[in-house]
Amino acid sequence: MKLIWHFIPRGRSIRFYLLLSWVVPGLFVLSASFFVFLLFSWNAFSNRQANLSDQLIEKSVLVSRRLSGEMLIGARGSPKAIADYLKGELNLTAVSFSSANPPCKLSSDANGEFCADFKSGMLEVYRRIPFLSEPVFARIAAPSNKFIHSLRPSLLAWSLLPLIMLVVIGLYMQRRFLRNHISNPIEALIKTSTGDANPSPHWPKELTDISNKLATSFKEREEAVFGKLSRGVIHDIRTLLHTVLSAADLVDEVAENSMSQNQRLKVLHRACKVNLKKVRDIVDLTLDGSREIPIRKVDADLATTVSSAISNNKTLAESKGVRLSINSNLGSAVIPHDPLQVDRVFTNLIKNAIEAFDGESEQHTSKVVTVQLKGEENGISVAVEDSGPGLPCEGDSAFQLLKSSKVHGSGLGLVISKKIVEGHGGKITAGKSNELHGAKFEVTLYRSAQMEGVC
Amino acid sequence: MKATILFLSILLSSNIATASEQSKLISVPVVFLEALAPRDTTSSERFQKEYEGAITTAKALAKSELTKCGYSISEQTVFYDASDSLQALERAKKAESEGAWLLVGPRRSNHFLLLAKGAPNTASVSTMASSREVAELAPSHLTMAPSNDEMARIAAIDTKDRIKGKEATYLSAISEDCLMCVDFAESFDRHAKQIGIKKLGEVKFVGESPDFAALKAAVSKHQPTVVLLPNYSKVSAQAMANLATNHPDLLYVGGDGWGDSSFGFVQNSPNVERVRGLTVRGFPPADRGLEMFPLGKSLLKSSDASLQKPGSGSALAILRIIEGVKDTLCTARPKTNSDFRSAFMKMGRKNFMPPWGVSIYTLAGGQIRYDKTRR
Repeated sequence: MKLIWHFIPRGRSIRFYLLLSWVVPGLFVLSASFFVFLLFSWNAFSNRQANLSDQLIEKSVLVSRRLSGEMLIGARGSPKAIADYLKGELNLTAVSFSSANPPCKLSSDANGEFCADFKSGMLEVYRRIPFLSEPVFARIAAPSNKFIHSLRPSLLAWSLLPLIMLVVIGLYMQRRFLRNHISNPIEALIKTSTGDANPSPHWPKELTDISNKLATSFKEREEAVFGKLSRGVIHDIRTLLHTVLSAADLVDEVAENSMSQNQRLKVLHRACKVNLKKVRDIVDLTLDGSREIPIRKVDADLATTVSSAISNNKTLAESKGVRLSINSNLGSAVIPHDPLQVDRVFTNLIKNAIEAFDGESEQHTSKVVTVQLKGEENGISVAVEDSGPGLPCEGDSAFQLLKSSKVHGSGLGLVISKKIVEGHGGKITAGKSNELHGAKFEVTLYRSAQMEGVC
Repeated sequence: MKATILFLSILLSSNIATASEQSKLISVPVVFLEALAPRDTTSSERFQKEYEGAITTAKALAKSELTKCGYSISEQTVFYDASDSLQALERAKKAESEGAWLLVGPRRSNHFLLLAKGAPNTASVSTMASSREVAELAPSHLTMAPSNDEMARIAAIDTKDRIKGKEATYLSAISEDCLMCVDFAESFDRHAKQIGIKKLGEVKFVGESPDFAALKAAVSKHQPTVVLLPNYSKVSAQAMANLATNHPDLLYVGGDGWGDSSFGFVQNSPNVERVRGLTVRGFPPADRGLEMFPLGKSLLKSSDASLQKPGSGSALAILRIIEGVKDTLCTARPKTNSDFRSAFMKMGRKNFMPPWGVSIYTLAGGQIRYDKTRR
């Protein structure tokens, strides 16, 4: 077997090896079929020989009796004429009689002594002519069957039929097995590991475990690669922001500025500080898996925080013709949370909702984004809904790193939002809006995190 | 009352006497052996029926005289395949071992010769065998037919008579596997030569459907006036059919094998309307033959509808043989098989002598008709 493997080329397509897996055993089975065909043919040949022998033995009885009748009456030369006549009548090659002993060993049946002899393509039967005082043997001969005439296509077909059936059924089963148990699971594993699909509940446990391991491994590797790449970029951005901030400070200190210029410098200063903080947060916390985003909870009004996020997006909404509204049935929405981080969450969610209309036509009549605050048993939930096209994937898949439904999206916003909410012991879900038929993100924050089992 | 008792006594005593007489009858076992051609089923069945009818009729006609002589015939009829002639020997051997007094043998000469081989110590008589070898058998084996030599002599004479004014020449076409045919041809040659009929050639063949190409070529080459066909009817008819188209003026001469006028093959053969010929037979038509011996005459006179008149030479011969058996038994009064054989050998030539000479039949217009009898 090793020698066989030595001759098999490596690195070819699966189809080649599958074909090879049929060709090699197929040759063995074909040889076996051919052997069976030869056996069948030999059996047919033997039967034909036996039939011919039986027929000749039967004819030898007729011939010997007929010759006996002629010889007993001592007719004038008629035994020879009868022999010639019987030769044609019984379709024989030769009919003769002789007093010489036959060349084969005699045996007996009900009609007397006889023997059969195959000789050089001829079958000869010798039978003692009955009722004669001296032994005289009738000899009849007919061409023997040839083995090649027993090699019939029908026998070959019968011999090959099991092989053909085996190949057809085998190929069908192999194809089906490959598709159901190899190709489809591998494709499904790839999808689940990249988050494009969830493991099927029909899968065996082992496959689900492999899928989960692959998903975890893929995610970790993805994050690690992204971290390495983005740290360098963010470092450059931070350097740039520091340079801008230093320049602004210098202008503020050394120059006599007008009121409006001072005001603009303050805005620039504040914006640089805010963005530097965000960059730091991303670098220090989000992209470094070993640490969490620091949450500094205070008792604050969640409605105020949400309103701040709406204000952050107001200009953007107006520029895109999106109607932005907030609804609340709460008297007081005070709940422990980090206003700065939660502001980031809702700013991001609302911004995503507004930008969801980017691909839509200008004639879209109902570009609506609503923010709904609701009281829960132990907390407050805030739903951000839009009338856009909805999410391409719902559930946990929406919160995958580097996955974005927007053309220029980074795939960071929802991941950071999820971390912030979970850092509060809350939860965030993605789904379809029943009212507006677009996307719906719902953030729930709890007064007591223990109720959700978060440590 | 006395009268009644007397009547009953007479009746009883007469019945006892009859029963006693019946019980004293000597049973004479006679075995009838005949060959049937299995390929010609219809004619074989017809022949068998007539053959068995002839036995029944003959027995019925001879019964009263046989009973008076103290004998009854217990017959056994055996039919066998004509293509297996050796059965004649085997059946005869068996019949002899079972104590048959008489074997009534088959028509064909070679079959009868085998029968004689199988039962050499039992009296036998053939219905129609006519070959030279049959005539040379021991006196315990007789035949009801005239010899081939006699029939050939008559055929040659009649042929000479029919071709007056022309050169009498002939060609022989002979079934080599038919002993009677070969015999007849040899005898015809001898007698024809004696009366000046010239032989131009001879063609031989074997089997029931031979190739006649050689015969047609020979006739075209020699242009004879006569073709001798001393064969059985089927082969003879085929030969005539092959020659009739190109040689319409030929005269065909047959032996004792062209079949009976009522159902032979010759008159049913193709082109037979155009052929003419003559054949000789050991038997006249049945009606004429019946007039030639006492049992036959009594059949002609009988008004018993159950009695069957013979339609063939074989059936006619059966009647004559039963008459011969009756005459032998009533004359010699044998008690045993060997007594009968001795009596048969002494009286056989007389009691089993065919009463008819050689009959000449003419083939014309598709019919074979009795012409005359010559002795």
